[in-house]
Amino acid sequence: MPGLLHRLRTRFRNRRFDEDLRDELRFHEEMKRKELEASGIPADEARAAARRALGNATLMRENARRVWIAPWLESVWQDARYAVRSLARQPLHTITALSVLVLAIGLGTTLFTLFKGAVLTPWPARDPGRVVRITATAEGRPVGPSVAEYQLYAEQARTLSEVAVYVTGGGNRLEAPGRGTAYSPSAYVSSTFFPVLRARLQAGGGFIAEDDLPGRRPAAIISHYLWRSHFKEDPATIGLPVTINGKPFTIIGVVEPRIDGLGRQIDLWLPLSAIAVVGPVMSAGIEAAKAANCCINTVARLADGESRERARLELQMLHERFTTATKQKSGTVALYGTSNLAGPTGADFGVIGAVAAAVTLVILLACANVGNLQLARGLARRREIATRMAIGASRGRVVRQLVVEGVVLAFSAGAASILAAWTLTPFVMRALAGDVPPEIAFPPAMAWRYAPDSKVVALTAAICGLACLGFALAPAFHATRTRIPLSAMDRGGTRTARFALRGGLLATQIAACTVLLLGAGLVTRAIGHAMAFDPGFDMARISRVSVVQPHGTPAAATREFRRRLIELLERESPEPVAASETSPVTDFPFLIRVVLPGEQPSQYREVLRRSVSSRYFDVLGLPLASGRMFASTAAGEVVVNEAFVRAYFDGQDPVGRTIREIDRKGTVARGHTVVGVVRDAYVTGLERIEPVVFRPATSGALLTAGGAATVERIRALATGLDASARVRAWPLTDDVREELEKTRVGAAVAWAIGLLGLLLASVGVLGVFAYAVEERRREIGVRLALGAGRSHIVRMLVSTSGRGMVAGLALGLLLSLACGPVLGSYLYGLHPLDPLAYAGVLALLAATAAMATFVPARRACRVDPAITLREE
Amino acid sequence: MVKRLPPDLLPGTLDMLILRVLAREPMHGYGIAQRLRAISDEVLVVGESSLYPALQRLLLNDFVNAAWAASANNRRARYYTLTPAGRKHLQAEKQEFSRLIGAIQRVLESA
Repeated sequence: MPGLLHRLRTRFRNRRFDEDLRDELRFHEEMKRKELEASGIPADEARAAARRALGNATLMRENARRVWIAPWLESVWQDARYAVRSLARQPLHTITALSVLVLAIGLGTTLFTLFKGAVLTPWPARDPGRVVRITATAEGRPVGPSVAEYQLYAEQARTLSEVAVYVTGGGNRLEAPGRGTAYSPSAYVSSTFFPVLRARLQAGGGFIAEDDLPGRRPAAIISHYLWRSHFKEDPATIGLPVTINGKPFTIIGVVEPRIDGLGRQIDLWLPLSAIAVVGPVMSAGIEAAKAANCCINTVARLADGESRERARLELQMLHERFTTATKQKSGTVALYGTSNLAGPTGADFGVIGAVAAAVTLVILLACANVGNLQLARGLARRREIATRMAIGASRGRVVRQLVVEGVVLAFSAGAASILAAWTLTPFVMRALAGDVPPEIAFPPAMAWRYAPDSKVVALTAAICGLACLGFALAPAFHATRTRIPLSAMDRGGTRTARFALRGGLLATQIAACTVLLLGAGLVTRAIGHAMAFDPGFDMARISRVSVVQPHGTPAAATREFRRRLIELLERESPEPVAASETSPVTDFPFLIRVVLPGEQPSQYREVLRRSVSSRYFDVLGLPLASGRMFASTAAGEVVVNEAFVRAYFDGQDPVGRTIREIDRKGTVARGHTVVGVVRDAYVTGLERIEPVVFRPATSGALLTAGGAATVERIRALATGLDASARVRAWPLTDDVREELEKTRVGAAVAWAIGLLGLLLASVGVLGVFAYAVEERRREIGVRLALGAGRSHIVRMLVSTSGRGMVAGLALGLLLSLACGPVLGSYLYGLHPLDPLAYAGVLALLAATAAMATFVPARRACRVDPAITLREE
Repeated sequence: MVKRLPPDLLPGTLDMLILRVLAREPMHGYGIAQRLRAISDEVLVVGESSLYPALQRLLLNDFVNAAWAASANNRRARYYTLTPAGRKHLQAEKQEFSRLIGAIQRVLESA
């Protein structure tokens, strides 16, 4: 048996194949005619007889052709061409179906492309599967590794080949002689960092162990991107003296192009010790303290032949040994990969699961809709299909042809979606970044991460394939189910009207739509809830005022300035003014470790701490429940809130009791006397009221409810103390807006998807009803002729086709109830069964259903009984 | 792949008969049909709908070659020629067919 290739080659190379066959058969026919003429038959009859003898020439050619190629192969190609032609003949249907599919699949593809770029892609290390990030946590809070603990790992861990620590920072100002200024995103790394990644340097040298120590050579390594864009790949860049944030540094190397960042772009690599030199005073202090006491980002490469689990066990042992020796709380060591998905922040991506579920619902909805369109189209093509089957097309062949149409539709939509993902991603990235400049929001060096790759193409193809099954196969089977004899073709009875399939499609989309809309409605309600939220104090009247002295003012001078400013304000301002380290609406986790009276130091609790000056509660208008407020400089006194009393004092008055604070080493640092209890309010973020310890401080931005006059008084007093101080004021609601930004983006996304769903569903309902009317046109005509009223007809349609809608609605409500708790954490305290959201969405659905059924119902009422009867 | 054969012929027989006709001399499709009818005393009327697919099948298997040439009455016709592979196949088929016929014969006589 000759191979398939031989067949295909012969078949396709031989362009004359068809012509040869045709000529040959024509010759045959002519010979036959001559033969018949010779036997005395008249010329005309002979010609007809010869034709008859030869039969269907096309069929014969087909039969001859099918000898060469498996007929399905050739006919699939035929089907595809036919599908394109027939789709082009009905542009309205095609555009509707295509746009619905592109909307749905494009949404999925674009979001997955973003997800892949932002979350799935690991660091650009060589053999990235062997690189792990190390964390230690106890009760959800990080407890290590600290720098000292990292050094222990580096010395003793046998399951790791290299260990490194790093801190990612913001942008730093890089100035090179004759090259201008570049603001470069930076990372501070230990000398072992590049070896962990197995990163090579393209030019110059890497960091050496000595660079880890503070005060040694000020070395910097730049990215290939920065080298190219800023230094024009000049080899003299190596050894070039530059300044970073005004401090002298030397560029010692250029890292290879593949090392473009750590999940986000990094252009400037500095030794860990450089944080203290170039970092902003505040954050450098915090980072250094954090690194020394608790935790620093630690990353390692597994030694050859070692598994992640074995490494984890060894590190757990080392961690416990370390924490025992230093009398610290020990935790659980965990190892993660380097993609953002794998990180300890992976839990934050729960929202991605919700988005993926929503996108799946949208795609389901789109499939159901296009399926309905295909069904209606199948009905309209009943005559064509019946003709095909009557002249001998097998059912399988007709089904295949209809499915191929679906495949053509779906894969055109898929191709368009990938194109859309490619072109839209940069815009989406820039739009999501808000105020961030575009070249930072979507840096050119990272573009490859966000380009559609084989994963994206594979996912899109899979979606298209499944979508085909969803929207093409079932309608195709249905369209070919009834074998109606040609003569009775137009009398397709009303029996077929009540097949389960359409009801199922309708129910599915109503259910999906209900879930989507209820989710969107709830989140929207939650946003409104959060904006109109009463935190227990009057947010609208309060302003925050920052007073900043010029960069470089000694810390001691700043402290003294702040102390005197607060003192002056407390004495001279008629309106209360207070200092607070954090805004009252953020949940920033400044913590204090306290030991309650009568408990052991090892039983310490971690409680939120807020450092405020004495008039803080006066500004917020919060009354004390008992006791008194402390003075701004009264060390050793604290005020707690009622939640603290409930949580740790069993509701008994704690005034006069002493709680002890312990430091990182686990030793008691000092005692604080509780002097007062303040009423509960949302002073640590809008999500929940948590136990808080307030302690005296004079640092941080100022708070006042006194309006512009007070701001001016603050400005006058501040510049009176230090003429160079700068004063800036903004309303507290700005802080709230900033805090709500993430939720707002989430709500916008939910609404976009929800509205898309509503649009799809209303089109779907319209399609289903139009279909029902079209299919029962005869029946409606007969009923009208027999005297049925128009309202009766509408009732009949709604009661039969509406059944699916009701079933879908019920299913959707049930699913929503089940989904409520999942959504709970994004609801800002709103109850998941919020009656307003449910009522609103149900009203919206009812209005849409009424609108979507109105047009087909009118059409049904306009059926002319006379025409129907004539057709009988 | 459905094989369309004249209903009263055994499967594979048509190919063998065509090969047998071509073994005598190269011939065009119409000629093959005529010849089969003539030598079988009008018993075997080969429908054109079976003849041409059969010829394509033989071409595909390289049992015959096809070439355009002038016919006896000076018209352009496609002549089929037996290839050595075709001759071998014909031999094999003939033997197989005789064996089959013999077997049927024995069944008919003994039953």
